[in-house]
Amino acid sequence: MNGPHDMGGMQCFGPVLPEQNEPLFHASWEGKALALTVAMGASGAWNIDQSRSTRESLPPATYLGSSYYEIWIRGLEQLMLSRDLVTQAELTSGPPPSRWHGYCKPTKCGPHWQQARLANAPWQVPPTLLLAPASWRVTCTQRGTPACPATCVAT
Amino acid sequence: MPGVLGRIIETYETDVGPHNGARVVATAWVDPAFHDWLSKDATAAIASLGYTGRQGEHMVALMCSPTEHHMVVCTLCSCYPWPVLGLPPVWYKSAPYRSKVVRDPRGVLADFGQTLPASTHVRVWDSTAEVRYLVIPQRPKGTEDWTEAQLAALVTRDAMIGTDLLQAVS
Repeated sequence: MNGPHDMGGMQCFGPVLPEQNEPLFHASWEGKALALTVAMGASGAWNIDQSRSTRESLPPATYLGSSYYEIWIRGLEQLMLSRDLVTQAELTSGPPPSRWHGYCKPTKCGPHWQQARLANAPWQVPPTLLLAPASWRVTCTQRGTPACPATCVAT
Repeated sequence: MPGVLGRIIETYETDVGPHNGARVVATAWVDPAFHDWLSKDATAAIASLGYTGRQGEHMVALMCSPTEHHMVVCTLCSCYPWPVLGLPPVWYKSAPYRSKVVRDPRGVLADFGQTLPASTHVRVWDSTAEVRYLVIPQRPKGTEDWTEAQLAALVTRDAMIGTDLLQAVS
């Protein structure tokens, strides 16, 4: 689908401006935005193409007026809202909802993250799982993958 | 930041970055068999050096020569070979680069202070949802007796995207 993201060949954006000694992130929240998006991909509630489509479906003025990681966060909000993983009221209020408590065990997450990074990409998640109702109680057995990245986020 | 979010950030701050791609390039420069393998099956050749996984599942190496130069873009967003280059710089994800490089690649090179000979053909590769490209720049003249480690230190991130041209060493 055509949209504001389809920029190849447009002529209105001016010169490329490389930044000398550019930092990896320009603010600490950018790193969190990247990590949150990657971590939530392990929930299996969407695949990478669905997350791309969600970012590209932001209102055109919002897309063009947002920085890269702003687009990621706005996209992640839409993905989580559309799958009932969070409500708008919870997003607005700030603190994690109490129903999330105990779902993430950070001590288990580190090794699993490395396994997941070096193994399958989110777009290789089986379609049957993508069509299943989103759940925070996905288990290793259900995912059926040795790396079981879902464990990091969902149990 | 503790926990898995901190581990994810740390991975891209320390483990994964353009030093990985520079090693691939330097290996290709000193080892003709690896260069040949990289040309034919970049995913496997790069994996043999230990670089696999997310955003590098389907790799293609683009060999620059005096007659042909390669540049890589993702016009739709930011697709980039994470295992060998890390996270992309802001300019790579920016509207000016995504829009301009497919229409005026030499103009983009000028934005980076670079000029290609008029006789060199330029090819611009637009990343798909899955395929990731790594530009293998020409080995600079004057480095004939350099070690692989010395060569790797010469290779810039931008040269592996195609927006930098490595200069001869005197």
